[in-house]
Amino acid sequence: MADGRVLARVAASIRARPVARAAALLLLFFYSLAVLAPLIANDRPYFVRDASGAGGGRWPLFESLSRLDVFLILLWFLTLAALLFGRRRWILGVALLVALVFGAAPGRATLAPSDWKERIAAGEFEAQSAVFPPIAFGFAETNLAESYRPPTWLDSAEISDAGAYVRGPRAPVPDPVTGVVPAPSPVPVRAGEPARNSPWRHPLGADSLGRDVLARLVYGARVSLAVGLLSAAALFALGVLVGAAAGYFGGWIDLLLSRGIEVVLCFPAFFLVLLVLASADPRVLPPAVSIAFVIALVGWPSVARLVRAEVLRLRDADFVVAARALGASPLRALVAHVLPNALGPAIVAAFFAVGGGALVEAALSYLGFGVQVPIPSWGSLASESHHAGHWWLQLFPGLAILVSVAGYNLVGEAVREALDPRLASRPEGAR
Amino acid sequence: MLRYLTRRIAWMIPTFLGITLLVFAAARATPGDAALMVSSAPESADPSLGAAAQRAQFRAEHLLDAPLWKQYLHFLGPWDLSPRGHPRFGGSGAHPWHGLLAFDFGNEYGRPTVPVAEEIARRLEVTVPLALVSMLLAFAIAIPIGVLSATRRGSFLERATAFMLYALHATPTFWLGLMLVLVFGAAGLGWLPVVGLHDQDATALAPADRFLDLARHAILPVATLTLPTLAYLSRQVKGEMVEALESGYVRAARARGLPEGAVVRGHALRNSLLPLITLAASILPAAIGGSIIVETVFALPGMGRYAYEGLLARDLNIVLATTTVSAWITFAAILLADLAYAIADPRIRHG
Repeated sequence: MADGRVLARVAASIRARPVARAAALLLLFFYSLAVLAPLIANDRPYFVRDASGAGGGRWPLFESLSRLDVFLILLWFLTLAALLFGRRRWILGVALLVALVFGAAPGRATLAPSDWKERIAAGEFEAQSAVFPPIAFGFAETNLAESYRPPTWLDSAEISDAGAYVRGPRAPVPDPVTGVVPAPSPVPVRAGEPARNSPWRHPLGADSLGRDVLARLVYGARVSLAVGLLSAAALFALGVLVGAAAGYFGGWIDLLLSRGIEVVLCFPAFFLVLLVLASADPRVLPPAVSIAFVIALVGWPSVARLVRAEVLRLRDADFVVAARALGASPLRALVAHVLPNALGPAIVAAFFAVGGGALVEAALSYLGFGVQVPIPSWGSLASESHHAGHWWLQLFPGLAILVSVAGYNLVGEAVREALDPRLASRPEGAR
Repeated sequence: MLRYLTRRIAWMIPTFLGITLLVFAAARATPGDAALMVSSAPESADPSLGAAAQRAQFRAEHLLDAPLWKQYLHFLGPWDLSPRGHPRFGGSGAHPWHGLLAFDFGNEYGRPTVPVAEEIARRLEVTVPLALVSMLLAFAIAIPIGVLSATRRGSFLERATAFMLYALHATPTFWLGLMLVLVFGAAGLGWLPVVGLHDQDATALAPADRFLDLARHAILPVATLTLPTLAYLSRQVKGEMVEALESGYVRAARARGLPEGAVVRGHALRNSLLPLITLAASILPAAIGGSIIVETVFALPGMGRYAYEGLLARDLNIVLATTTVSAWITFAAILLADLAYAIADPRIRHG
């Protein structure tokens, strides 16, 4: 399994399995949502024309993009192009991974809802020429009159002029924290938004502050996907480092590291994650990044064990002995000859760790140790209301987590069959 | 066998010390001044002192300003190193023993009359039965499912189960709990209670009815803990079974003319069960970690919930105690599994 061919083998293995191919495409779709989130769901229009008639116009959405967003989006299109046409695609893939990880926290500039809808309504700009994104809501844009509004394609979500629900027994539910029942008030339909009772207004409902769940779901993909990726990458790096050192150098180094692995392994990982996370300072690291590192911190031993076993197996293999005899230093023999052949099982484990990391992030968010409001993640969305009446807040984000994790695992199976030497000798479909 | 046992137990000591060090380091890194919480528990403090003096007294009593090595030794025990601790270390002798080795984790910060160790014992009465029942259930269901999926590969039933298990394996535990509440709770079918372990008037019930009430309350939490484990386990069983069914000794058994049922049960299954012993131990940490989630979703007074409360209250005693106890339980389970494996597999016993 020499360096460059790893990716080719993985790609071939995915292509050969229809289920894995579908899962990979689905993940690609989710990642596209994450990267392009500001272009898909935003309270700023793409373009508005001045009402003065001078012919000038503004591009509010593009003006508001942070440099990071622009970088991410450009890189995304470059990667897609490279995936389709290019060679050496893995360089771009790695660059994208890095960029995505740093994009986990949406920029400060896009946090606050804009006043563009008001400016258009006030007649500053031509209302007819305002072009809004497909979802004309920002992820932090509130509309208190629509607090806990069910998905708008349901009959029970129909709202009268006065702001009261027309049909169904569903009374506005008291706020879970304050216990206050909000009095019905007329729903303001701002510029660019679908009509009050249009089924497309809030296809997935609204949350306690009347924020659009679909818009928040699209943005939530950023944190959820990035945490999974970053945690798996960090876990892989740490595990390979420790496992290779323990396996290759042996002796007391191995003894010490193996004991360390055993100690961490017999911890209920989740206790440790909570404990360490409680001590992370959100001012130093964005919560999404510290969550990922903590997950890696408790998850590396499984990778380390795999790498250690493989390195032990290969340490005295003929080709390594030959390399040493030709004058390669121990370190060079390890890095250039042993490791490339020992990483297969670890890569497989890291692949499954991506989905695992996403699950842990969701659980942490549920307990309130996740990302800070108003930045959404799928986990924090699903746990926003525990009231059984607010099923749409719980159902849709959970489904997104489920589908993405299942996608990771399905792709992981394909990777396993491509890379795991234990399977190479086994008949097809043995696991 | 005895040699294996002694070696295995001798290795426990450094691992145990490593666990305590890790717990202590992680808990000490938790920011926030626990002494600030004391004002919420006025009965503990001397009313004649000001708030600042009370806090200083609290910090001194709990060794919060002491050097780290002293705090660690205090946590490890068995001597109490605080001002009212063992006379040999300059204490008043009012409370000579403390720490892990004395099974004394101190009292709660918020409720100074409640020893943490006693509270944990109370809470374990909820957590341990839940974890055990769900693990047993998971094994009891996963083994037949795994065997059937291995022997009937490609059938519609096998594909349907595989799909279900795959989805279940990718489901966040807390979300599974929320969905079960939605479907079976009062907002959905209304079949099962979703909060706590007993109805409010349960104390008035006869013992048999009381048990029935408990069982009804436990169904959803147990299901939430069981289903993801079940999904994981049955896939493992299937993998082991498929491997066994293709191995030489199964072919040999078939060649001898044994009926297929006897081959599956007597040869393939027996060999596939061996790795499950180790799996059982590796699932336990997940089950205990999952107890935090499940006990939060269903508002159960278990140890996971206790750890979470302690973390929120910045109560170092609770955090240290719950983490250590859960690591101990896991550690003991791994040891038991190793021993069981050694008993079942002569290659290890003699090797």
